[in-house]
Amino acid sequence: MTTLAEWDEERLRQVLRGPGVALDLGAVRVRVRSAVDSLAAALRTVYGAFPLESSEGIFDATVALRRVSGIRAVLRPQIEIVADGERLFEPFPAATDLPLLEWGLNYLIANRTNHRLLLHAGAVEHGGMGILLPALPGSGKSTLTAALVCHGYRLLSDEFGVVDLRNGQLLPLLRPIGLKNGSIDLIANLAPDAALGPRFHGTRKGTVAHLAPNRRAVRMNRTGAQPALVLFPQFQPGARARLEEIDPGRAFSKLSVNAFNYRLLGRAAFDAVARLVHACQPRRLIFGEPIEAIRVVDELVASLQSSLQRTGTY
Amino acid sequence: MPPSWGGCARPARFEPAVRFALTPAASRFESVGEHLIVFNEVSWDTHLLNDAMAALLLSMSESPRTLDELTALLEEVLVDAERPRAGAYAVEAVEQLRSLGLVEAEVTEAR
Repeated sequence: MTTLAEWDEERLRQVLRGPGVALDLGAVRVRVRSAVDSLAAALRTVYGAFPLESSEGIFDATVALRRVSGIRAVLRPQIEIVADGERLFEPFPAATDLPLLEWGLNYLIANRTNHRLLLHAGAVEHGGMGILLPALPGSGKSTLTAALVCHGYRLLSDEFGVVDLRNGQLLPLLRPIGLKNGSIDLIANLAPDAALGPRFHGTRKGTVAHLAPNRRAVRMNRTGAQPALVLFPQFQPGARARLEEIDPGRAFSKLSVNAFNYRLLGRAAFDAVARLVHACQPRRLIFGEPIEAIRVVDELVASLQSSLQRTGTY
Repeated sequence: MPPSWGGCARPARFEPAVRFALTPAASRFESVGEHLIVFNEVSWDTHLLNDAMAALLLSMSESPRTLDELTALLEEVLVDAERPRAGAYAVEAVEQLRSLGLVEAEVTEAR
């Protein structure tokens, strides 16, 4: 099946101006339209592994990027994002097309995906084990998620840890991993072959770039993973990578406060978080260098897999 | 004056005949680590209770308790230095749980 990366860029621009591009992210399907032609090149990179699909059907959100008219069409031009006919934010500088799209999708997913529990977390899978990385901004969550993915872990999600309320599985919600400032070079050096999108300077988060989900992750976008680990990343410059135990009650509190829709889902969310905390002994992962953090996670995963083989449980 | 009241008078609303029970709002709770996590079915709030509060709530989940029974339970849970104030703690705890809608008073015949 043809992927976005394999498609002709001019043809992609035409489709974006017209019916739009369908993106099956796993737990969510979106349709993207754009009158901002520069978006096509970025999409071919950061969504390059996604197959071309029909833009007809049912979507969780349809978004469109368009140029602001009037004086802003020529003087410091701006663009805006619209979802189902409604503008989401104040206009952005025209040169920030991909960040605007990504932040717009974050906003829509957080507000509309309320049949699942949405934790503010990265999520990866390895050897059938789901690993949740819940964290506040600045904790190093995205850097750690990206580093694990470059090391061979399967990406489930960067921004949203999606929990199926029926069975507690972590579900894929594949989006490019958003990296900021120093993390961009760090990941680029860690994985020189990784598909990193263009850098956008001067955004409200500094310089941002996006790491594309790879083909394997996209191919498995319907395959979830039973959570086995909950690791709260905590970046500390110069720190030795190590794990620290967290009281499960405190972990419950951190997860529920950190969720986008815990309050909205009521008892279903309470049950889901309780199940998560009981199934996965929560820990804090302190790290200064992602490579060291990867080693710690690898050791922990190996230990749990060994335990599973011996006893049938983690 | 029982020593566990720490020299304070028993509040009038906590007469010996009054027993305290969980409300339907407190029907869902989980022991998680050292805490009891309670989902409030009415407000949809989630409450994190420490071991002393948890002991009281779990006791009331088994059957309604008088304040004296709750005080006696706290005297077993609290450390030595806090034990003299078990009665006052019991009053505070019940008031807090009542304000959250998790506990209510039921009046029975005095024995």
